[in-house]
Amino acid sequence: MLQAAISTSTNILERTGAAAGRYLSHLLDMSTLFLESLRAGLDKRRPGKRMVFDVAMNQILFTGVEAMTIVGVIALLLGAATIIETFSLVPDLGGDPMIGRILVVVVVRELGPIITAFIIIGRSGTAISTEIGYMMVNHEIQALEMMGINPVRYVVFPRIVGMSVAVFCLSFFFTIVALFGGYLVSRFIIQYPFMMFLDDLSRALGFWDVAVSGLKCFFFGIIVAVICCYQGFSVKFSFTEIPQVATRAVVWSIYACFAVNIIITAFFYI
Amino acid sequence: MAVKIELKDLSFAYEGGEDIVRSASFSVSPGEVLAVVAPVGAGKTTLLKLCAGLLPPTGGSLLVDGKNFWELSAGGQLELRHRMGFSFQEAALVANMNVFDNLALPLRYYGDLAESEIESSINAWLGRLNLGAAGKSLPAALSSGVRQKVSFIRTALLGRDFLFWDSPTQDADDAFISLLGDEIQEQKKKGVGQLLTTQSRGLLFRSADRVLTLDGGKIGYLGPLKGAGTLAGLPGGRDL
Repeated sequence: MLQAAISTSTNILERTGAAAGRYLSHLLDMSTLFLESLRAGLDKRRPGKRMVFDVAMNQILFTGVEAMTIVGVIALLLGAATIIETFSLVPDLGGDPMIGRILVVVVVRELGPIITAFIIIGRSGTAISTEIGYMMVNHEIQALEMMGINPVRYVVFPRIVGMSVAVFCLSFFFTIVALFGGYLVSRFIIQYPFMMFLDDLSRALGFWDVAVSGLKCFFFGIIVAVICCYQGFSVKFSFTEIPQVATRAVVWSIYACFAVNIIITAFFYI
Repeated sequence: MAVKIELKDLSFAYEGGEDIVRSASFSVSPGEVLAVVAPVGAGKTTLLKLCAGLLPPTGGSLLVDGKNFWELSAGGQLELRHRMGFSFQEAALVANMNVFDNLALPLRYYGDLAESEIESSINAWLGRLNLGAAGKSLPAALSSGVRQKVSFIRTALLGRDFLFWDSPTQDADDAFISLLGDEIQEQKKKGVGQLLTTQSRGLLFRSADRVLTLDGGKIGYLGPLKGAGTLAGLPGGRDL
């Protein structure tokens, strides 16, 4: 019995160790991909600057501009929901500067960046991993290589740039719309005057709240782009691998964004 | 400048599988056309991709222009690949670009030519293959035969130092096979080494200086066409 128990524990430890090793290896590979993309992308002597720029612009258009509607609607609803919840918990809050403070802490610092990241993961992250996966199966990546076009410079780098810029900008858009949503509900429930709302908000909102929120989104953009590109490139032979890598890209991106969110929050606010 | 490709004891297996290529050793010199003949699924495409440095071998070495390809940096490998052209069996056109943009992609990327020059050279090739109307079509809207023609143009347009032709005649008509034969001869005169797999007996006899057969992943025969005897996988009859 004891031997069996020891054997089982050893097996669990071995499997856990092997899984940890695999994830560490993926982490190293993704870091290498990121560094290589910076090296290849920022090298001014290499050709194709105009085309790399165009791909980055297209990524900003797809990830940033075309996502504004869904980001805007969710931000408006989230800002409103935050204030409704606040009033339900503290019924006599009316007119209190707490409204501004709560909106800043909940929306600007935490939910704004992370929800923007989730929308981008679901919308653009899956698109990137699927597109690259398809390019792998269709031998398009090999064709690029044979044309002397570095796929890391032409495919990965502009997506990282496009995603980070787009998510960074979207986070500000999200924050502004969410704050407006919070104000609308406050106005409806307690006839909160707009100037008072602005005054409370300006007192609650510091430079670092905005800067940290932007910083988080910038990192989220990089992380999601690197993970999704990496997963796309892991497709080898079959179209059936593509939905699998897309799912893995989403799950890994969510984990990574949460982890980075906690690290940045802890670093700046503890 | 012409490129020589040399394989030394090269082996390859896909992850978890058996060796598809076993201890292959041969070379293709500048101006030479080597045809790979083998039955379907015997590893012709894999061998071509190994020679082009698109697949990392599991053993042995690939020398391109005297340099051990897999010991070079990523930049060095890309530089050598830039000197080679590959016409893919599956065409491998970029799915979200139309035919014209697919052909213009490498030319625009390197920016050596003005847009007007790019336009005129691409239109000339499209006209030569009666594909003028296909310029604005996406690859998905084309038949596999037309896609292969576009892939051929992409390879020929760039004028590289070594060329790989992976079954370019799979869905081809006689006119295209003849044009392809002309192009191979022209490149040969320029001293460009070429590696070819084809289903066209006519193209094989017209173009190949030597023939290589694959038998269970190993090289069965390597030499001139006349001495090849009976070849499994040879299109349009087996007896040479």
